[in-house]
Amino acid sequence: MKEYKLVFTGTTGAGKTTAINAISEVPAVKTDVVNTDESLNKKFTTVGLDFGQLNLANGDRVRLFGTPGQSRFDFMWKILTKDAFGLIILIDNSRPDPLEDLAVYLEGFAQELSTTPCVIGVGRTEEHPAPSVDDFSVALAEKGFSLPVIPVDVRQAQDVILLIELLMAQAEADW
Amino acid sequence: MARYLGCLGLIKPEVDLIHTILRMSSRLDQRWVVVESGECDALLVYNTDKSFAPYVLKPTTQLIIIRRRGEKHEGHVFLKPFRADELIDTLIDIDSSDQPAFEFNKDASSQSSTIFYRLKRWPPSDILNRHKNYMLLSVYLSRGAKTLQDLITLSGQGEAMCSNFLEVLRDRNLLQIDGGKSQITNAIPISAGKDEKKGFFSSLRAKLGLSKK
Repeated sequence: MKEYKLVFTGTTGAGKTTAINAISEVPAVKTDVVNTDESLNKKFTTVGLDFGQLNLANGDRVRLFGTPGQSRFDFMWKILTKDAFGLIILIDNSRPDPLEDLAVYLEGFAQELSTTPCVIGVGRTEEHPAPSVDDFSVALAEKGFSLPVIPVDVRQAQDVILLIELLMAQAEADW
Repeated sequence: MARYLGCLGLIKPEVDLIHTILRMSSRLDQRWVVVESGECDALLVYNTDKSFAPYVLKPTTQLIIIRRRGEKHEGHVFLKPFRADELIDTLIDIDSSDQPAFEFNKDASSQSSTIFYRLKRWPPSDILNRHKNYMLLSVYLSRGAKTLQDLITLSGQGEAMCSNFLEVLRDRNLLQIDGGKSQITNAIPISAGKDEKKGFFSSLRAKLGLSKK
């Protein structure tokens, strides 16, 4: 039996916990506490990590990890991403500067991005259409990336699955 | 050379929609026309159990079955609610499988082994149109230079669709194009344990309900 690791990262409120819950086969393990940040419209927030799991037919497992959103926990990002087969960056487009949020994660995971497949899902684009998904791809290109960036609703399992499919395609393209 | 599409069992507004899609699509370039009877190259149909009259099916006629999204299906399908781009992709696929030497992709075919394409940036949403196949093609092109043949092999899509997509990207100046000598195509070091990962992806795809051509 082998274990594989998939990491979800992104700002607080971007939907990491929701994305894991959308596809996990086991009740997601959460390390949430009451949110004390009044700028965030949520009752609880993750300070440790989220964990979910997919059990494959051959006995292998995919461990789904969600990093804590707050950048003060960025030391955990690298720990969680070590040996992951993919990294999913979730962006909350309702935040004040989503492009800057993306820049923080590109910088935080710069080393991993040279070897680990990565996709970017932008949430809440219907209520907050700016910046557009195209603005994100232009911003990525300016930093030398042509990573997939797509609008997502992580409450929908199909959207989360599409992100994973794009990750797998990246790995296959490298073979 | 015109290609003929039959529509059997569709109501008039649906047939009108098909007419409009074929007429408006720049990718199909008005190659396909709707016919009301006789021989056709493809036939849109709800039910394959009944007679296909007044259409005459040739050995090469492709059936495109109409299904609701979420219903199980095999072969060519057109899913309701209808999306124009999906029908266009299917017809281009049929073009590709029936007539690989079509004029529109002939140049690309002959050069497929020597021209390398690489995506300069992730394509804008008006090109991708939330279409998974386009996203996957874009992913392959974003990970190092690829030939048309590489793209066909990786995606499992037809040559027509791949070359058509490359054309769209090239027209929008989204491709870096290199020709001539063999390229080092991988931007990322080839990972060890490729076979193991292949098996893993296959299992994961099955788990997630995905299929790969």
